[in-house]
Amino acid sequence: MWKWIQAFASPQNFYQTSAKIIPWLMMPFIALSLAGLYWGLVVSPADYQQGDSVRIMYVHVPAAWMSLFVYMVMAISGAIGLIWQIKLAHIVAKVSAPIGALFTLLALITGSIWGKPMWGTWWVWDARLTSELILLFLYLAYISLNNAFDNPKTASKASAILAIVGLVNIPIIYYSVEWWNSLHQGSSISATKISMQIDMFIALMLISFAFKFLYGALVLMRARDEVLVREQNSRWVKTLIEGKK
Amino acid sequence: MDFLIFDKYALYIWVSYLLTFTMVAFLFISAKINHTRIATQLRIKYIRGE
Repeated sequence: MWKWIQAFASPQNFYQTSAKIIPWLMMPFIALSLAGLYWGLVVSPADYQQGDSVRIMYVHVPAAWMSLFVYMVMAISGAIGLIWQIKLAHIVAKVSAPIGALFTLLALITGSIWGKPMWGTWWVWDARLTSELILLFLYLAYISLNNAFDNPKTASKASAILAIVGLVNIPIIYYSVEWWNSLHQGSSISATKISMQIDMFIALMLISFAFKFLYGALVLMRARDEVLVREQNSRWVKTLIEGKK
Repeated sequence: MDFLIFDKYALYIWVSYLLTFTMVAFLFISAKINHTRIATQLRIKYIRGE
């Protein structure tokens, strides 16, 4: 397994193999997105309290989950890069940051759009909302720090440390609705219980898995470009680019 | 298709989905543009023999 990871993590192997994987991530993304849209907008019923506004949850909740998931991938990749000196891990962390930032922004905006008709306000300085906003700032700080150095090695190390330190915000976001009196509703899904109608749950899961596949495809697409830049003095990159004329 | 009107929440719902679609499209298009830009820059660099 370790040998396979090391072989895959070599820049040239990664560049070639990832090109074959991307379509296999895109196809389930498209299929799950279409199914999720159908389930979320047509099949699932209106909520007895929220009415049709519950349909915003089918993009808001998966986006919020992705904001946490991508940050964890970013921090863990950064840690792997620091400990085992695997360049590809640093690349995964770097290219994940803008994707995670956009998912966080989407979660904040769609949450705000849902909040207006439900809470009567676009924004409250609630623990969940504020900690999610801090997550967005962490992503932006990571991106800024990564771009602040000319040397990619120094940039990767410094930003990996920031990502690892910022991990402390993840449990704060997750448990904020339990630790503090919050206007934000608690979790409707746990390991043992699903407190929602089954069609609502299916719509949520379909979009959620679609986002996971989307993230996988985007990380590979962006990581391939980053590999090209970092390996631009290698013979294989030169052959590849000149062969594309 | 009456069910897609979503009563008084239609604007909120459609704006949310439109934003999501825009974000997904932006991520893909920016990745594609970035790839073309990098390939072009590297090609120019190799032609100049840098």
